[in-house]
Amino acid sequence: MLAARSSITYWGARSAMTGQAVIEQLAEHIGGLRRYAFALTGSQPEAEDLVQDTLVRAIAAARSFRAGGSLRAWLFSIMHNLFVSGVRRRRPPVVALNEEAVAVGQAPAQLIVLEVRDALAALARLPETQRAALSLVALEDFSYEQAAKIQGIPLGTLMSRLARGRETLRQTLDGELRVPLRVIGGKQ
Amino acid sequence: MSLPEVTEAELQAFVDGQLPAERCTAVLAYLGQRPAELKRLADYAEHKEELRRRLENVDLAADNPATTELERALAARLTRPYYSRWLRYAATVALLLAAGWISHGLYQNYVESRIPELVIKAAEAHDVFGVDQRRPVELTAASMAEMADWFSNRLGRPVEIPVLSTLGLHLIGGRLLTADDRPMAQLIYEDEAGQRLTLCLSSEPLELGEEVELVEVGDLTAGYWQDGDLTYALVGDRPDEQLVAIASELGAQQPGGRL
Repeated sequence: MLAARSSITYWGARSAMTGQAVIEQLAEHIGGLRRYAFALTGSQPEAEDLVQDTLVRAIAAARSFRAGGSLRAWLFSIMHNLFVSGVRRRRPPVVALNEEAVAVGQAPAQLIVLEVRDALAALARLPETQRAALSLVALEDFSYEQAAKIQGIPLGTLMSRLARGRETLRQTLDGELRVPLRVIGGKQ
Repeated sequence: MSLPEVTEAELQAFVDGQLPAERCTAVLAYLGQRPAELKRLADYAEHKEELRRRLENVDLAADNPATTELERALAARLTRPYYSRWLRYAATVALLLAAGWISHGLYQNYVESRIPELVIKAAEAHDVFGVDQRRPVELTAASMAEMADWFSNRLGRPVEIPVLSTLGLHLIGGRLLTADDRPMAQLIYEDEAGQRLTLCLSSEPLELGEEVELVEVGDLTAGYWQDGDLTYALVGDRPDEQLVAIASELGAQQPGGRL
C-alpha cells in the first residue's frame, strides 16, 4: 500500500530583501486595486470581495508573473478580467456607488441635486467600459498602453472610451442637468 | 490662417500628461485659438482632480484581515518563483549534488517523474488556503449540491462531494483552483481538534494506480491515487496510517469505480 515514499523539503533560499520589497510593493498596489474595484463595482463590500478574488487568482497564477514585468499592471489585469468575465462569486446587490458617495452627512433634501453633481456618482453612471478606461487612466495613472493592455482592448478603443467617458461626465457635472432621470442621453 | 492639426487623442493625452513633449506646442497653439476647447479640457482636468479627491474620502477599509492574509500569501508566492520546481527537485538535487551529477542535467529527467505536478499543487494549495482559519471559503458546506454541480461542470466529470463525517472530518468548504492550466477542485475538511485536511480532485489523466502513494512535502504528507477519470490528492499534517485510512474511505465512496 505504501508504495513510493520520497522525502522532500522546502527550498529555503529566499532573499529577505526581495521578499520585503515585494510586500511593500503589494501593500501599495492593494490601495489602487481597492479603488479600481470600488470604481467597477460601486460598493465597498463588493470591492473588497473583488480584491480578495483577485489575490486568490494571483496566488494560483503566480508563476505566470514574469519577474521584471509590472506587478501592478499584472494585478489590475487579473482584476479586470475577473470583473468582466463575471465568474466571481456573487453577493446580493448592495448599496450603490451614488448612495455611498453622498452619504457624507448631506441633508436628504439635497440628495437628488447632489447625486448628479457628485463626481463619483457621475462616474458610477458611466457605462462599465468607459468607467474602467477612465478609472485606470485618470485615477490610477496608467499609461494609455498599459490601460489598454489591462482591459485587453486596442489603444484606439481606449482613447475613444476615455473621450466619451470624460464628455459624459462633464455634461453630468456641468450643473445644466440636475434631475438624474434626464441625464441619460441628455444634451443642453 | 491655418490652425495646427491636433487630434482628440492628443487633447486627452494633454489632460493626462501623456502627450509627447514635441506635440505640446501644437496643442497649446490649437487651444490658444479656441477658448471653448480650452474650457472643455480645463473641465476634464478639474473633474479628474475632483474624482481623485472624492475617492480618497471613500472609506475603503484597508484593514480587512482576510485580504491581508491573502496579500502575504501572494508575496510569499512571488518571492519564491521556483517554489514548485524546487519542491519537486530539492531532495533529489541534494543527492545528486553530492554525487556530482548536477552538471550533467540528468536530474531533470530523473526527478521530473517523481511526484505529479498535481500533488505539488495540492500541497501548495493546502499551505495557502487550507490552513488559515480566517481565510474566506468560497462555498460553504451548506451548498454541497451546488458545489458538486460546479465542480462536475468545471472538471467535465461527475464529481461527488465525499462525506467523511464517519471519520470525524467535517467539510468546511471548497474552491476551484488551477494546476497546470487545468481546473483542480479543493475540498477542505476539519476534525474536532480544528486540524485541517484538504482533498484535491482533478480530471488530469495521470498514469497512476488505484493504490495510494504517499510522499512528504515539507511538513505535510500527501497521498495520491487515481480512480476512474479522477485523480485524488489528499494533503494533511497527519500520520501515514490515518491518510491511508481516509484514502480508502474515499476510494470506497467514489462512483464510477474501476477504469
